[in-house]
Amino acid sequence: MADNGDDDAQYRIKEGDYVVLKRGDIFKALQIQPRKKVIFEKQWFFLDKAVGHLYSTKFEILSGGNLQPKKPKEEESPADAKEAGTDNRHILDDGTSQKLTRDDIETLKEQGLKGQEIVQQLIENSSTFRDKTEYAQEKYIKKKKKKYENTVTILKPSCRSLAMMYHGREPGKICHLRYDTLAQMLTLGNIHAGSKVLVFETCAGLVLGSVMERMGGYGSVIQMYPGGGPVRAGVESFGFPAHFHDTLHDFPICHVNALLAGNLDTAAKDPCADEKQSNTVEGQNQPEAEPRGNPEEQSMETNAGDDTADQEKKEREKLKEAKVQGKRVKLEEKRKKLAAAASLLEGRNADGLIIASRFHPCPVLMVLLKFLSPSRPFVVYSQYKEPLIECYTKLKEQGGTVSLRLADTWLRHYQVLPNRTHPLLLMSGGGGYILSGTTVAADRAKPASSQRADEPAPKRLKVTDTEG
Amino acid sequence: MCGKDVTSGQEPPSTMSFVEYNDFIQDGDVAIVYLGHDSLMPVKVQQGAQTQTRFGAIRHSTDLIGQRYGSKVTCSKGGWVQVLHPTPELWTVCLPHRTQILYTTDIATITMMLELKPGSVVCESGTGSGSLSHAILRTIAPTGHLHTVEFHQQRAEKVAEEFKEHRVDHLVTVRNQDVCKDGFGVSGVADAVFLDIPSPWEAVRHAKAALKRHAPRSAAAARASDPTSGARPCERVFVHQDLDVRLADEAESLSGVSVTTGTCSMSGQVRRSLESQSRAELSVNSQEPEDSVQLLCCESHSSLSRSAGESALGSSRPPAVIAVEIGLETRGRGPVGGRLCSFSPCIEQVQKTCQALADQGFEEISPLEVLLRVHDVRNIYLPLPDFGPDSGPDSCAPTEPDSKQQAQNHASVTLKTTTPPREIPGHTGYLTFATKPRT
Repeated sequence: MADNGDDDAQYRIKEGDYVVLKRGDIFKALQIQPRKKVIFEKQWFFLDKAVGHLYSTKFEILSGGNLQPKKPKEEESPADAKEAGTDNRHILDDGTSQKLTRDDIETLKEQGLKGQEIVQQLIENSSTFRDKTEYAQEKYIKKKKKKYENTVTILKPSCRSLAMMYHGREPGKICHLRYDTLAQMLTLGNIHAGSKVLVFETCAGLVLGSVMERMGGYGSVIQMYPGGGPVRAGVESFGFPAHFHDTLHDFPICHVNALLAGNLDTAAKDPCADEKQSNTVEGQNQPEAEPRGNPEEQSMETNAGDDTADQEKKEREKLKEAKVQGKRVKLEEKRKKLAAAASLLEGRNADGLIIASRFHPCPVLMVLLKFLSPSRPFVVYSQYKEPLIECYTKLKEQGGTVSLRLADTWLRHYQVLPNRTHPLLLMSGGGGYILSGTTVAADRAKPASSQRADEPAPKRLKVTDTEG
Repeated sequence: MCGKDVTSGQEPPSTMSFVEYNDFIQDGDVAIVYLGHDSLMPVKVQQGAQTQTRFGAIRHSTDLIGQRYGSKVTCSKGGWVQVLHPTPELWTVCLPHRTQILYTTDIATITMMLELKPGSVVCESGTGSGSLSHAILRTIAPTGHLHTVEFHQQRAEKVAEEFKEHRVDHLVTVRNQDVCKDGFGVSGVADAVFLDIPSPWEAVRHAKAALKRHAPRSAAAARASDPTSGARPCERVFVHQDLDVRLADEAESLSGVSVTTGTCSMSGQVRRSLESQSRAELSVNSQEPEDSVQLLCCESHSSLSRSAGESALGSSRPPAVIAVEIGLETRGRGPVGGRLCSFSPCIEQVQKTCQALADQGFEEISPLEVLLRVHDVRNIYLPLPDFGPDSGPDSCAPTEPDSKQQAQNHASVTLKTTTPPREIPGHTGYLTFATKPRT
């Protein structure tokens, strides 16, 4: 962690590392692979030359797609134009102010001019630049710089950059979960090192990865997954050290009922995983097996062939056997993992629950709450408010929770510049909704007797007939 | 730490803390009594003590100690309450206010945008009532450290006391000094800095100094080329941790004393603590005075100060010891810079802060505002008006009083929906985030 003072290897970019590319507020997560062409913001380049440099270094993209660390001194703004207009009364938008054509600019680019120099050219060839106000000039430069800039910063992945990346690029993949909403979930869920947290998500692994980051490799995370297998591409992007993955367990939601009923047989073949397993086994064997039907049966009967063919067949049999053996080992491992996850859940003493999925949250919440200790927080995210109203109502009826709150957050960014401070013109319209609460011990004495209802008793409006 | 990984049933008895769950209430814990929606109170659990609530008294020995967190406790007047395990979020809504505090919505945003996680080293000023501090400590435990600076002596003492009660004191150093004048008391170590002070722009340079720094190229190169030279220009000084607070007085009387090497420019507080500590070992073997002397709180303290913290739990008041390392360079420990956040209620403050940040070479300067919108779930009844009889042309007869009655009673729709609270906090403060680039 932060302790190995002298060891700055952890701060250096290595081959195979998962990194985040950044330009302005655009992010992209990827893995560093040798001679792999990377396309980012309409530019292609290779990351090979970045290896060995420190994280958070800003690189310049040279011709040929190679990266070179940018010297900090080159940052100065290009224009030292002292001339400036007072307002825009003389500026006509007739499309003729820029003398450079698109082709000219392309030629400049091909000549290997840097972004900075191109911007300078643009300014020199703009007939209106001098008439613009000082502020407008600054804005012009900023805009052009952004367009012709050819730098990229390589960052170590973090929950912040990945959440912002997904929100900006592929919000559909993360159920439109905005980064500040994710921040609320992690805090309201009291996610911290050493606890045992259940996660049910269909947000590409972003939520799971964020939880794991906050746990720092201490404690355990159990991913409750729907369908055939856990989806966690986003977790990879975090580039966690190997030992983090030892703390990650998964459990198929299709076994939850069996687990709760106490009849989950982890030794026996489990139905849903089994089905999938056998499917893939068949699928893989198909091309070989097709001409002869069942390979095992066949092998018993086809001993009478000539020697070479026999040899071949034997080889093939061996291979197959090894494959089958490998599958068996894998199955066994899977079963062991399932048993381990089941034993973590069986105590019903988890410390936190995070739900963020495209599924209806109500049944998921009702089932998974059973695995929490009393006095532990839970957080449910939904892109829509109504399903959370249903969760709220159900929990109120059922009891066993306190401090229920349905909320969302409002987020606004600002531009702060001397004499030009204002909110940004665009803001996110909504980042999803959150239902949070705390579990308490189930009330055996007086079920559903609400001594103090959080919600005031709904008053039935008297329809007074005012019009005589 | 990972004791709960295995469901053995027989767990070693652990204790509650704000960074670790425990199942049962014990003597000495701080528990949170849930009296009703938005009505909570913290209780220091003590054998034999009683706490009065509006539902009657809670007797600690019988009602709390040995009970499971989250269980229902019946008070003397027959009413009942729930007793919850403390968390930073519950603490935020029931802590004793000594200042204006930060609330969970801002805290959550700060935690993510500062990229805090276990192991992070964080500097914070001012400490205030400790609302944010507790949330930071929860997130950076068990290996991180919080250096928090509060210029109000009583507040600093009080919050240090609370950290002890909440069993997080091994993760935090409280300093009673003025961050604008004296900085954070550490240099080149922080992953993140948080400012909640009236004039944050005056503390930006100290924030920059506190953030992780890369060893100067020349120094790093020299060390690499000649590893045997061994003359790493740094020395170790041991300082009593609990001096940090107590020293405030002594420091005053000691002001004006010049220290050690003439070229040193140390933070005032540490200099003073060095001066006043007869036990302080100071051996300067610096070769050449570079720009300034870096003081770094030896961050391998995660082991060091943790063990100190543990021992502090055991006996009465053994001096918690931290190592302060003084060097002419920060060893290449943090080449990545770090994140900064400043919280200010007024836009003028934000403007000055942004200017100062830009002047100090910070990047990605991004001010934002985040607000919580609560949706209260309600059943609502929407009456339907009576449009009069609606039938064919033949039934133009005047309405009978009977049908009118019916319309009044039954013509309404029931809906489950949400309503906004009548009033909500519409502004807490602007959060300005920035990145100190690698230098």
